[in-house]
Amino acid sequence: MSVDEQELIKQARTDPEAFAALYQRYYGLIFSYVFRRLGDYERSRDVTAEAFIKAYLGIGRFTWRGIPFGAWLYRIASNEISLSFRQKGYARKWREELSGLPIDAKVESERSLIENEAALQTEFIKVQKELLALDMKYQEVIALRFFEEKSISEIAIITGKKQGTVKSLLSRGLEKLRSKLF
Amino acid sequence: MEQENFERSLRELKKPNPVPAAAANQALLTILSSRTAARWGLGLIIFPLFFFSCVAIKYFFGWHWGFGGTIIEWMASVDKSSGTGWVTPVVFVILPALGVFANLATIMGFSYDRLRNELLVSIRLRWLNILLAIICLLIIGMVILYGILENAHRTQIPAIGV
Repeated sequence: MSVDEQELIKQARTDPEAFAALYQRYYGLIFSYVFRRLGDYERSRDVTAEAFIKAYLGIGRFTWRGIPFGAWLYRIASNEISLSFRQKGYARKWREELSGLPIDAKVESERSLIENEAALQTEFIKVQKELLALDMKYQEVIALRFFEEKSISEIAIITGKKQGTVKSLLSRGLEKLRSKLF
Repeated sequence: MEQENFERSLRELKKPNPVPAAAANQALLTILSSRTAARWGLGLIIFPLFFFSCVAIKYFFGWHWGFGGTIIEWMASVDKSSGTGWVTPVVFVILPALGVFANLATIMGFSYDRLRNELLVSIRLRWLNILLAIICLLIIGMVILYGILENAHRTQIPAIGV
């Protein structure tokens, strides 16, 4: 983590502008991760927003224990993806906030653009669909390894698991995914 | 297909690379306001709330609390003093009014439907903001009521002597 980022994180505990700078830096990255896992723009937007709300409210608890800030965000996003599957009425408060805002034409056209572009990648959609049918623990490590191109050590940091466990989950998960696809 | 080839095919898979600028802009203000509005509303009414608590403890419950009594006397002296007479209206009316405005602005949304020529007003049920707005209104109401009663009392006193 750069000194500049460390400084921003310290300031973000009390200064919303500093958090906004972190947000601008990481929003695209986290949204892309969530979208590659879920494949749906609206859901990805909900999950990403919830992840950043949790990050904003919890930034006082973030400390430098060898976990980069980006990895912390990935971890929150992964947890939110799991929650979105398990919880009824997920992101209800966030959706209430959105319903109070006027319809944003830019968001609507962005949704069409992103989903239409994604629809062209038929091989990816096939893999994504079968991946979503696997257990969450396999989905997470496979997506981080092959969609986000993270190393084993980075995945271990994000998931909070040992590297050996990550390798084992990857191996078993890939076997299950391959059997579904072929 | 062997595991190695499968892994290679996954690595070489063409993946979507969305650029969600509009979603990012839309979400930011909402995310930042999740902490701010409640803090603002609370900060503006902490002293009035504390003052009324001291008044309630002393006059309604009859408990003689040294620090509370000091606060009440201090506020009375500030109010009577010629240079600082503006403090009471600011602390007990203007700041709570700002608190009402800040909290209502957070929960209310306005949009215009061109097709039907309607102004649509929505209220988000964020209970903390609603509660703070109500408390601010109660503070203003109590101060206005006190002002009316005080003036009515002063108007009546000359009549008693007649």
